Amino acid sequence: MYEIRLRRLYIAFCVILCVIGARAFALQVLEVGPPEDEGGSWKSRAGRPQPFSVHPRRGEIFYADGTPMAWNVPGYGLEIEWDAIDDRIVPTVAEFRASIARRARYEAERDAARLAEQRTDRARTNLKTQQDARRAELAAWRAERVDDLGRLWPVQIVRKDKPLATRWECTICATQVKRRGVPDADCRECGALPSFEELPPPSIRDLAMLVWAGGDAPIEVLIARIQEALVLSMRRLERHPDWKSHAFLVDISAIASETIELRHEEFGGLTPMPRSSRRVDPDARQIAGGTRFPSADDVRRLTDPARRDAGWHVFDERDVLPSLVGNSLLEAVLDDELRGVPGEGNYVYRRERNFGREAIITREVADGPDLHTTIRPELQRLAMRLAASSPTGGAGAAVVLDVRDGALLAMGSASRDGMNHARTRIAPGSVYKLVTAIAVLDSGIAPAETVDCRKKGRFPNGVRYTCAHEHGDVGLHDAFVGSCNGYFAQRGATVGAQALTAAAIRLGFDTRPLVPALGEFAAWEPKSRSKHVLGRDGKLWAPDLALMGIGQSTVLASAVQVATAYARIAADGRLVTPFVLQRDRPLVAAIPIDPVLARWAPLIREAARGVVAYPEGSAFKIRELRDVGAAGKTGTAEVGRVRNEFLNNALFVGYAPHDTPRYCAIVVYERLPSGRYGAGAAGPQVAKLLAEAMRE
Amino acid sequence: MSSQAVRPSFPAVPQRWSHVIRALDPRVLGPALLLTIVGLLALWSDRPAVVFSQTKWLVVGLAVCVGTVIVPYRRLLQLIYPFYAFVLLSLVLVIAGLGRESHHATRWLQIGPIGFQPSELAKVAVIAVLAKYIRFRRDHKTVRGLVVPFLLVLVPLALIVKQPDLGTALMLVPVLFVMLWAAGAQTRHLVAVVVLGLASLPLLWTLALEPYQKGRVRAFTAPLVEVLHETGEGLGILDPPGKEAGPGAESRAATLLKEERARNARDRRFHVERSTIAVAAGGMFGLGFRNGVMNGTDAVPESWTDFVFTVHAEEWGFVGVVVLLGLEGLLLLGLALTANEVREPAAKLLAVGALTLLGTQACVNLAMTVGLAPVTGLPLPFLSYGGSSMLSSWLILGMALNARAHKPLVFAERAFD
Repeated sequence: MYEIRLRRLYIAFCVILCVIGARAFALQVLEVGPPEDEGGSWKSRAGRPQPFSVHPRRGEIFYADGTPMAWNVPGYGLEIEWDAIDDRIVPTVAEFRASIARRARYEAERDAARLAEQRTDRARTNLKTQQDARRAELAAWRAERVDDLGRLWPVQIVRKDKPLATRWECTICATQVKRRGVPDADCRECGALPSFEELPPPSIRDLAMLVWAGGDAPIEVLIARIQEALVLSMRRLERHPDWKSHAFLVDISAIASETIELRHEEFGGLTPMPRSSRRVDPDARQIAGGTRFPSADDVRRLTDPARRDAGWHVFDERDVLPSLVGNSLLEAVLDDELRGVPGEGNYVYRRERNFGREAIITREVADGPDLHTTIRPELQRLAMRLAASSPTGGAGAAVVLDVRDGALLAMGSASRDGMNHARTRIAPGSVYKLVTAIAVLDSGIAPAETVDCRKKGRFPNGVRYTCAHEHGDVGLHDAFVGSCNGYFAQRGATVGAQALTAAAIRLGFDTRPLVPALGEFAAWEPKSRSKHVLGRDGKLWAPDLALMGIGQSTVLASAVQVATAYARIAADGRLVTPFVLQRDRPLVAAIPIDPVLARWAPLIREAARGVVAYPEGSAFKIRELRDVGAAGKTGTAEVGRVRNEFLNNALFVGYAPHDTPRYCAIVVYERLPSGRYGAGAAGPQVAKLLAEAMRE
Repeated sequence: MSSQAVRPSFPAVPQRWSHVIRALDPRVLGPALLLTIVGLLALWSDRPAVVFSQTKWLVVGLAVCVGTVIVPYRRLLQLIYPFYAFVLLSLVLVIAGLGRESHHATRWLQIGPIGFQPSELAKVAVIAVLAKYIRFRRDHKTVRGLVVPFLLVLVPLALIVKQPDLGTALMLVPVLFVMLWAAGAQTRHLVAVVVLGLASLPLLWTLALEPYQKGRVRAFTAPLVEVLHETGEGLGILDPPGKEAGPGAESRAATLLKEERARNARDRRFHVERSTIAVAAGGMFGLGFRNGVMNGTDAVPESWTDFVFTVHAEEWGFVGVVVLLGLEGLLLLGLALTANEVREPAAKLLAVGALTLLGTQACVNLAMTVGLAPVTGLPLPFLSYGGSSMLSSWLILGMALNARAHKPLVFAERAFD
């Protein structure tokens, strides 16, 4: 009996284990199959996790006081899923061609109106040339897209093997379904007997009116925008077949997003998704930079496994497209940091019917960190305004530094070419005499040792120079105060290239850019440095050295670099380096001090004060500078000649208060006509900047 | 006193180690070790941090198993009553407030640096004390003779229920019935007791069960919709039926994740929901080792202890499930063969008790994981993480193997006659 009962006990356990196995078989195999609408079980989607990404928020950039500089604007975009899109939403080739033609007509009328606004024939001719070029470019671009559309159309859109479905709406609960014939089943929502009525097919016009509801653009323009976006998305699809969907319209209204989501039966294949766009304070565009949608190169770069070696996240393709890519300046340099790391998760479906899905997060999303800059908003706005107030409407730049640690407080630039002229190299003119002065002092030449300055002098080899005044026998102090070309030209030729180079490097004019995050250029390129500057005195003529001594010839420097040089003098030789992010702020006590600069800084500062305060100073006439207690240096560099008229770069760099310097500012106006000098053109503007900076 | 006069009555260890080696039956140890390896792989995937600790407990468990085999079971049975009393005392101390609370129940007792679960020891003690009590008796074939065995089990059972640890307590019931049944108790007597027990269920429901235990039973018997309506939770945030996963819902889902999890944690069907989802996710061949989406994310609660089967099922699929069930079947087969081959009644009962306890615990755990039984909080022997569970499993296995290592004192033509 014992053996029989033991056998039965074991059989009982085996039966239970078999039942458990059968249950597992049902869970793992039987209920996993084709989707419900393809004849599978309603449970068929269970057991197949669907991966998804949680897109990180791009880190924002702030001013020093917490005011946003570049920020995200919550919004919505539309994603297209080509496998599921309703065929009737997308345009036909004929519609597309017609809309393109409409758009071309609209642009032709607009161009004609702008042309009529021009006053002179020359302006009209110039504008006409530009418009023609632009129109030809657009025509080629559109023709290419039409060709693409025609080629992709049969494959992607017109699916002849799948007849169009008709939309039907329940007359009781307004539930919409898509059927190829009249629905013969009860309404799945309200359970009513079949009582459906046919709805008209949605069109691209419906979509346009919905997406930009309330906008003031003509409906034809909206339709054209949608069509172009559709074609663009198809082109992307062609290049990246793995991308089943991606955003093709951004910045749609929240109402449109909600409506499309609620009427997903109607707009099948179009999915609204939260998608932030980026806004940048226009006054800080030259600092924060811009963003753009990712290109194929961006995808390759961000999905490159080699990024892991550098400590960066290797993105999945599906995570790249919805994100923004930094295009320039801080946004570009710190792009990897700002973009964060996307989260990963899976949707899993509940076993019970009609109880939806759950999101299982397998990796938490890491939003991009916010960046806080050292830029002061009011000061930045003033710098932008002053940079744009060039007497001739030309390029201008204004920079303000904190003397104590080198923090960049403002950097404004205005120009027609769109470049940031605060970080581009220009001929600095007399402000560069600071380098020559340091070189002279470091070479052992006594400050009181004089040089004979004539208004028009001549070097032994016959090359001539001119000075604003005939200073006669002049020492370093007086030469600096009066910006004597005669002294500094002769001293430049005397001390030689090596001394000039050493002094320049001490003051921050180097082959390395001072603020890489801002895309600044180096003062010297390595090639020019080796050819002209580094120590081969035999290859440099004395006139070259003389011109270098007064900031002309091959000498180039950016406004940021000039400001840094004077900030180092104002800080008594402390080697401050500009920085724009608060996290890079160094401990003041930890900033090294250059012994040469520290030794001669008091002498230079006294001379710089004389520039403003002494009657013989080159900026004595600028009362505003004295009012703010500034010291500094004027600079005027001849950079060209038009119709026998010289063009000058006008600069003034100064710091204040002169006894305990806090802020250093520089204003540059490029290519001013003859008669406009640094003191008169830029001096008052620097005074305004310093006054604003000191009004903390 | 002369040293030659001293002579032990029983050898402390077998004089010939070949007995011990013979006792280490590969039909039993093989599946048990393979199950342990499967458990370690699942833990490595789900909670790598506990693998070392589990390996440590495995080594200790193997040592305990071998130690149990070395000491003759007759010696063990001589000490069983003091051990049984120690277990009862431990259970009383736990209830008296000296225990450590975990998961809303007080199940742990800390003595100096050593912490253990008396309820796990109670399983071992009950098997041994029943084997000791029943082996030479025949009165359990009468109703009166059932009283003492029932008392020997019901006393620790009541103390365990009081902790509360209903799952472990209920494991003692089949052990009692099966051991009595195997020892020759009348089936009709045992059926009558079962009927009486069923009749008293309403009383037990009212008096003995904690609210959360009632909730588990309700959650198992009621459909999900009723549970959610009863709690008033959940319906508002769920996607409408038929709505497909779309990128538009991703960030929304991520945003609501925390509160949804909080709600789900209160959902009484949460465990079963998540475990069945995880099992189903495996499909036929699984998602691959360390590729399970529900692992390591707390998506399945207690996935490294009671619900460790979900990790295995998700990563290795139905194929892995079949392998695991096969190993369980082989282990039970090995124990059944052991119970059939040993000749002494006590040894037979020890093997039958081990077979019943390990088999029942595995079946209940697996059934709970795939939604066939209510959640009981029982670990899966040899797979779930936990020192007490691992130790008691190997201890019980050692007891079953012990009988093979030593010659029986009593020979009988037929067992329990």
